[in-house]
Amino acid sequence: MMRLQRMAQGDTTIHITTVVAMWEAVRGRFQVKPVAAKPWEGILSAREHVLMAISLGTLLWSLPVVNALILLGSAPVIYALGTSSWSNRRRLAVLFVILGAIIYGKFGVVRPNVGWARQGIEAFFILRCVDFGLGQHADAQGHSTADRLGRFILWIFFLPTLFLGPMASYGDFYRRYQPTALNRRQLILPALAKIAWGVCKMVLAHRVLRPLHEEILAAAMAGGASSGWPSLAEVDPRLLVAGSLALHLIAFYLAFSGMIDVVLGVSRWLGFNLPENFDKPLLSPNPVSYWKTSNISVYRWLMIHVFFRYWDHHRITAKVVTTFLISGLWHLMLLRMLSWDAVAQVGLAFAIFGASVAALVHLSHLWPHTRSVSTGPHPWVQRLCWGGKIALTFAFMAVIHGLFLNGLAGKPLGDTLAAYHVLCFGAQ
Amino acid sequence: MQQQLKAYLRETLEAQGRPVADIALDAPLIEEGILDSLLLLDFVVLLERRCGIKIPGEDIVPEHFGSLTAVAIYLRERFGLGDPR
Repeated sequence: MMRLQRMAQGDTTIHITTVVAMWEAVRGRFQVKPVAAKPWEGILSAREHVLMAISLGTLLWSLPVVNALILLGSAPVIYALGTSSWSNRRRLAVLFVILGAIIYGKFGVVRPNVGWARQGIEAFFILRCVDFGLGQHADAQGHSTADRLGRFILWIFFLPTLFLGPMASYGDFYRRYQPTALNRRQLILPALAKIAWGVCKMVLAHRVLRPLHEEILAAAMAGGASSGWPSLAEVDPRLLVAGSLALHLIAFYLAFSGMIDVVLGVSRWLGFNLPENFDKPLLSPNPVSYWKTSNISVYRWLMIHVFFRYWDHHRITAKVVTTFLISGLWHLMLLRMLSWDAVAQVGLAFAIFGASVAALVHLSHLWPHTRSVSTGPHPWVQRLCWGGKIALTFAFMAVIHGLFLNGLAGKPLGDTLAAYHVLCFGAQ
Repeated sequence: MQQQLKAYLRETLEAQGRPVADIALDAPLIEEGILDSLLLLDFVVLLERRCGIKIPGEDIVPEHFGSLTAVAIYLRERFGLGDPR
């Protein structure tokens, strides 16, 4: 009897041990993960879930169902790719398949109701796909799978940057997220000021500069005849075309940077302190500087994923050419539809811009800067030279942007070339 | 190692006509505009030449080249070069 009691006790002990072990296992499986070094790094809060839901809803609203499904279907594959231990070659192979599907969706599916701002969704989605797909995210510690997945979805479909960027890398996006330091009362005024400044720029670009550019260009092409501006008839058509190109570039810069200012203002108010995307590109003294200071987030992406990655580090010209080639191909994703005129103009713009940057970079390495400031010419001469360089670069970039923007707008190549003919040789 | 890196960086900047007085070891090179992408490439080429190493393109990321300390840590962990202290 005693033996049976002991056996029963033993059995009970075994049962209790088993139950406790099971309980531990279950608790371990479902317990909240330990909070990481920064409090917000643990688990997505309700606020982030709301943001995620709004972003996904906007995506579904923005695009036709097929296109939205392609993007939504690509996301889990990209997540699996980025968290896998696959080699870069295999990751690139999968990425090419995904990019093929996105490009098919973009140009193979008719979508007449998609506005111009939404044309950029796929283009910026591609940048995010490559950034995460080629990244090393397999060893992220301190987060549950659900949390990591949530953070990925929030980043890849983040509403403010969904349409036209700026392109924040996954690492930068969360490195710059500071909701704990967020004091909404302090942040709301700078954010609102940034948004208001952006809106002012966009209004100026769309309502004033762009119509003015079109009016002046039309007058130049008609030999100075203009319905709204009779006095233009007396102005040299070459000057009119030059002025319209300058206005076109300024309008483009104001519209794009204004939209980015709105995005940055909203993002910063939400706690995502994204960096500036422009650094006075219109005051660049040479095309290399323009390249570095315009659309900085895409430039940064190209540097990390193309420029540094391919070719031997000594072959800088090959690196620059490859980077411009990829950049040109990527910008084709901003087209409404593929046409010879559009592809030719965008391609020509990137070919000229890339060739000028490659030549300047090559020359700077052939003849490194050795002259000290003290032995240079008089400061006034230096300032004059500096101003001249800025004016020349502006004129050069205005000509290149004329090609690029007319390509994006789907205008015939012949019209652009006719305008440039007037610019060089006067009225036709 | 970090002092050597500082000398290499100064050499890179001076070669492109951008002399600097002093660079703190923890100064954010890219965010503060000390290095841009083209200068970073020059710095990498100089490092390869002086240290006799080959830095893979995918390793040139802000995490490894964000500051001189980060560069020293990267070179030690990847190539076993120097002591970052």
